[in-house]
Formats: sequence, structure tokens, C-alpha cells
Amino acid sequence: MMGVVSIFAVLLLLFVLPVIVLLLGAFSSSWAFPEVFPAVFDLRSLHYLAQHGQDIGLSLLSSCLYSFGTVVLTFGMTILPAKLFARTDFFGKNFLEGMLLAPALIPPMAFAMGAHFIFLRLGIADTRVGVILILSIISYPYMLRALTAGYQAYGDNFALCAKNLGASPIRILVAVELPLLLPALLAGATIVFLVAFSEYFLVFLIGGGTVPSYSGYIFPILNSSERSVASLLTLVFLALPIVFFFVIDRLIYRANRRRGMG
Amino acid sequence: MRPSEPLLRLLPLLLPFSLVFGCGLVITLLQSFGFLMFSYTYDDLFFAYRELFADSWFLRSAAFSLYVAAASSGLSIAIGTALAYALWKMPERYRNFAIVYKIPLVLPHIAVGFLAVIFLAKTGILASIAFHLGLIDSFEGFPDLLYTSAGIDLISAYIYKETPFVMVMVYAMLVRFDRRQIDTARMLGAGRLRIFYTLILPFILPAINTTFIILFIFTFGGFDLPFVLGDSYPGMLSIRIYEYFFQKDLALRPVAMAMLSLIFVFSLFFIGMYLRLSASLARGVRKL
Repeated sequence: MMGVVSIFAVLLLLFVLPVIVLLLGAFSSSWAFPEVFPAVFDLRSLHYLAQHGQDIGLSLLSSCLYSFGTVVLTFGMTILPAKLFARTDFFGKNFLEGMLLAPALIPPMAFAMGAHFIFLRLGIADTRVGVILILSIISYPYMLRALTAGYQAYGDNFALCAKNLGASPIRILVAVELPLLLPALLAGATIVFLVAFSEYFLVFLIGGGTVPSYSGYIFPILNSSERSVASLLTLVFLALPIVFFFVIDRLIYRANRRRGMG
Repeated sequence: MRPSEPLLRLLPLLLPFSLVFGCGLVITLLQSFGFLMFSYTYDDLFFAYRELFADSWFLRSAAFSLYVAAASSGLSIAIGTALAYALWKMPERYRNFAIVYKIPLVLPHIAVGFLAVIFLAKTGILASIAFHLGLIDSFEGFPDLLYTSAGIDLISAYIYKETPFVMVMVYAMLVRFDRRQIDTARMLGAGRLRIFYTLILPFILPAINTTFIILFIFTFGGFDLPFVLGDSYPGMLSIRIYEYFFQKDLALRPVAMAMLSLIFVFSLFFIGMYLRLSASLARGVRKL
């Protein structure tokens, strides 16, 4: 019992305390040395939120758009290769699998600055398409691994059964494989979304300031003296994924109930 | 399946991979030698590399990046492994509450950098706590933890961000460990340390090795966190690259590309060396 208590104490101190500090700081603009706990609370950060609601909303919307775009594109890029890696053996498979994980391992700057040159030539620098493409390159390995594991978790028999009953390849994918892959897909999508939504530098490099982003919006505020505003806006990074998580969880629950699986 | 079919199915992935990642790397390399540099031409193929080694700033920055990467990855591995092991030993009904450790996984690097400033500044939370404990009389007595060549701010921010990642990786490995082995070892009289070092550690070592490689290279070439924490001397390589790419004359861009090329070559070299080293170490360990 002592062990459990001390582990929780460590976990709370390490991981929860910073969030509590952000929460307190968000509602006290005058919190300063040597107060360990804010002496006065105020709503200055909320006033800022009300004043700049439109800019904040736009940057959040833009970030969500390109992050969802990245999830969709990485799914499109990896769904066929994932099945191939999970189901078949072919010459050079191990080498290829290792090579395709490289973009998540090699520092992104090393290829992104060269890629910027290509994007300029292709006319997709400073566009949302370019941002989605570069973010997909650094994040697809997570989707690939999740989907490959998903395909490995169940055999080929379900698809074979559907095929024998006369289903088309598209129908097999939508009606048989995707529902079975859903847990793996959600796991991959969560990581891809978080990677895309968190990224600051690549959006700034490829988006060139014309694609608004939430991380780009709050960056100057983090370095300013507006501590309470910065704290409140930082909490959004935590709140947004949690909200998404609950919405998706509910949606799946309701979908399963409709099909009588709940 | 026809022989061409695997290639066809890989195409949706191989096409963007080659175009953005492959060609991106090639252009970085070419520009480091002065090719494709818009209207600029260079007489000396190694102009950028000579520029790098002409002065000591590059080697200092590289050494600083190595130090920050090694210290933060090493400490994250140590703390994360200890916490994952503690979590795994806990009774099952408490484990769900421990999900709070995933908070830093969700927070972006720039947010973690902001937290580091709040906590470590001379007038920050830690300084306030030290004041109330009577350790310092005023904020001037608090040590400089931000923007120094000791890199305390960078290292602690990376540890906060990376420890949960280590926990996830090590815990996933521990779940596959047969707990009955521990009971057997205990019956045979093994102590807690002995159990950890001879049973648990060899089992989770592959996960630790992979995680270390990922963290080390990521920290070594990371940009967001050093950028939000501001400049310091000698500073991380990524910040030097940023300066050469954006802030200096376009004619000097090959210098940025040369640093990136060296980082890329170093990453490959590091992965190779580390895998070879860990393989030779694993041969020395007696298999059960």
C-alpha cells in the first residue's frame, strides 16, 4: 500500500502538478515570486480570449483542418502497404519496412528544407496542401505500424468469406476490414493527429505564415509577459484531444449499439 | 499474386516517400555542395563545409547538442523504466488511475518549453518554493537554470516530454513478461535488485535500446523546444541551422544544408553503431 501511494505521489508531482500550475496561472495574471500559490485571481485571460476569439478560433480551425487532412492522407498512403506487409512475404520486405520508418526517426529538418525547394517548384509551398503533405511524411510511420498490427491481429478468413459470398474488393474493405481495423485505425489516427497538431516548425517552414496554425498563433504569446493568457491557451492543447477522445468514444459506442454489439 | 502487384500496392506510399523524403534529402545534400542554389554559383565544392570547420562554433554546438541528447535520453530512460516497472508491479485495480502519466505525450514541445520557463526561471515556481523553504533570501540567490551552457532547461523539458514515451514502450514489453518467473526467483531466494537486474532488465532491454535510439536522434535534431527556450551559447545545432537558413544571406544557405547533411549522416552512423553495439552486448548475456 505504501508503494502504491508513493508511486502516485511521484506521478502526480511529475505529470499533474504542471497542469495545475497552468490552471492556476490562467486565472491569475499577477502571480509572481515569491507566491507559491496565487494571491489574487482575475479573469484577464478570459477577456483576452473574448477580444481575440476570432483569431484564436481561425487558427484552431486551420490546425484542426490540416491535422485531420494529415490523418486522412496517411490513411490513404498506408492502408494498402499495411495489408501487404501483414499478409505477404516478398523479397526485400524487411529492408523496405525499415526504410519506410525512417521519416519518423531522421530529424525532419534534414529533408524538410530540401523538400521546401521542391514544394516551391511544384507551387505547393505556402499552401495547406504542402503542409498536409510534409506532416504526412513525418507521421505516416505511426499509421503504417498501427494498421499493419491491426491486419496481423485477425487472419485473412473474414475477407475470404466475404469474397466467396461475392463481395467486391471495395465492399470487403468498407464492410469487413475497416470495422475490424477500427481500433488500430483510431490508435494510429490519434498519434498522427497529435503529431500534426503539435508541430510548429514544419508548418511555419512550409506554410510560410500563410497557413494559420494554433501553435504558430500561441508561439509569440508563450515568449511574452502575458503569462495568464499563455497558460490558458496552452491548456487548449490538452483539452482539445480529450474532447475529441470523448466524442469519438461516444460515436463508436452508439454505432455499436445500433448494430446490437454494445 | 502477380510479381508486379506488391509494387503497385506500395505505390501510394513510395511515391510521396521518394518525392518528399528521398528527393528532399538529395536536394539538401546537393545544396550543401552549392548546386541548385538559385542564381548563386560557388567555385569551391566544399565551401560550406570549410565554413563550418573554419571556426569552433560548429563543433561547440555539435558537442552541446550531443550532450543535451545524451543526458536527456539517458535520464528519461532511467526514470521512465523505473516508473513503468513500478506501475507494472502495482495491483491491477490502481493501474487505470495512472493514465495521468500520458499528459506530456499530448502537450506539444513548445508548451513544454513554456512550462520549463514557468518552473525554472529565477522568479519561477521552484524559486518561490526555495524561498518559502528558507533556502534563498531573494530571487537573486536562485541559480541560473535557464539559457545556460549547462542546458538544464532543455534537458529537464525533454525529460518531462520523453519519460512518458519510455514508460509506454517499456510497459508494453513488461506486459508480455511471465510473472511466474518472479515468484520462482523469489522462492529460490533472489532479492528485489537481483530479480530486476537478472530477470527483468534483459527482457526489456530490446525496448530500451529502440527507445534510446529514437529519443537520442529526435533530441539531437529537434527544433521546437530549443527555439521556444531561446538562444544560449553555444546553443543547439538546429538553432544554428535556422539562423543560416532564414536570417543570413541566401548565399550562405549551403552552410545550413551542410549541417543538415552532417546530421543525416551522423543519424545513420549512430543507428548502425548502436544496433551493432547492443547486439554484441546481447551475445554476452546468458539466455534462459
